[in-house]
Amino acid sequence: MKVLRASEYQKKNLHGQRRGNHVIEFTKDANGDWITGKNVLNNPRFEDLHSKLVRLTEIEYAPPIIEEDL
Amino acid sequence: MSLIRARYRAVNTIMNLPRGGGVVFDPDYQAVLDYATTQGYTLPSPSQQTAQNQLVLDLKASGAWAKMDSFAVFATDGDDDFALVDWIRLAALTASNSPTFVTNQGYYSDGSTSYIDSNVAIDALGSNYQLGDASFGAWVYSVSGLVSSNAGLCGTGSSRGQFYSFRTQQLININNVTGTGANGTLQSAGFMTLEENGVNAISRNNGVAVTTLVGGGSLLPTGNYCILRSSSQRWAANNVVSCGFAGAADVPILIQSPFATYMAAI
Repeated sequence: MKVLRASEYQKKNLHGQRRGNHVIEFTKDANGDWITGKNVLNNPRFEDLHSKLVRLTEIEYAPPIIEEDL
Repeated sequence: MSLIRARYRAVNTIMNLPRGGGVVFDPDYQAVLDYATTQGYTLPSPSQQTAQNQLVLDLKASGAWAKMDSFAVFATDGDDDFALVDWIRLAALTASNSPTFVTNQGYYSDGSTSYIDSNVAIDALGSNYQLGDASFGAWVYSVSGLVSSNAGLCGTGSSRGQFYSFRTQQLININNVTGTGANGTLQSAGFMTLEENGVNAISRNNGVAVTTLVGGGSLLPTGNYCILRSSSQRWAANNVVSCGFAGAADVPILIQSPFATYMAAI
């Protein structure tokens, strides 16, 4: 599964961008990279951010491990 | 009754405008339609409005409605914003990282980042979810293609509200009652729910107990209440969820028949 990786600068600029009930919210994968899903590229609500979103790096998804409290 | 709901009910009473071809809807369902109209969302078809109104009536008759703090119906022919309306709180949930909406089925995650967020801590959604009397859950549209995994169906964005329901050993944490349980991969489509009643934590599939852990709650969860997500884990990709709820411990039993009837009707 492919996801989109953001640099710290890209994450700072895009994280929390909200359009109506839709938001972009980066999360950390198992490698500590900031990622979001590829669906944000096709969401018309984020069309104004498309030029920034296409600059994110496509990487293979590395699932995070389940937290310690389980 | 919340101030928002009271306001919509008052407006509805003053205007006294029937909807859906002359049918006068239950005031609480009418408030959902009025909220969505105010927000500019596309409402369900008239026939589905009738089905949804019946759902509210059935939930009231079963006792589930008064015991829920949050209830969102993702399976609708309204638009993807209407699908995000919390019918109890009259507020919109947030679609984080663009989960995919399927008309009349619901939302699904990409399996990596997307989910639905209530934006509120589970015990702050209302007054029903408490230590010793709590539940949350979701209706899974189909289990076809689901595999045993660490996929998180619903729960909280942080600790003590976690539900990994479709694993060879379920992982459960509700109000700090935590542990592994029975084989969850044999479950059927429909409700997968988790409750804590002061004595046990019980996961259910369509009302039938799957895993029972001994112990009452000791700590409330942290983080917002989420669907298609449990802590850091997202629900399995491409597997649609048709509704989500949070409330008192007996909601998983009370909600079963009304929502199954609704899903069969649409």
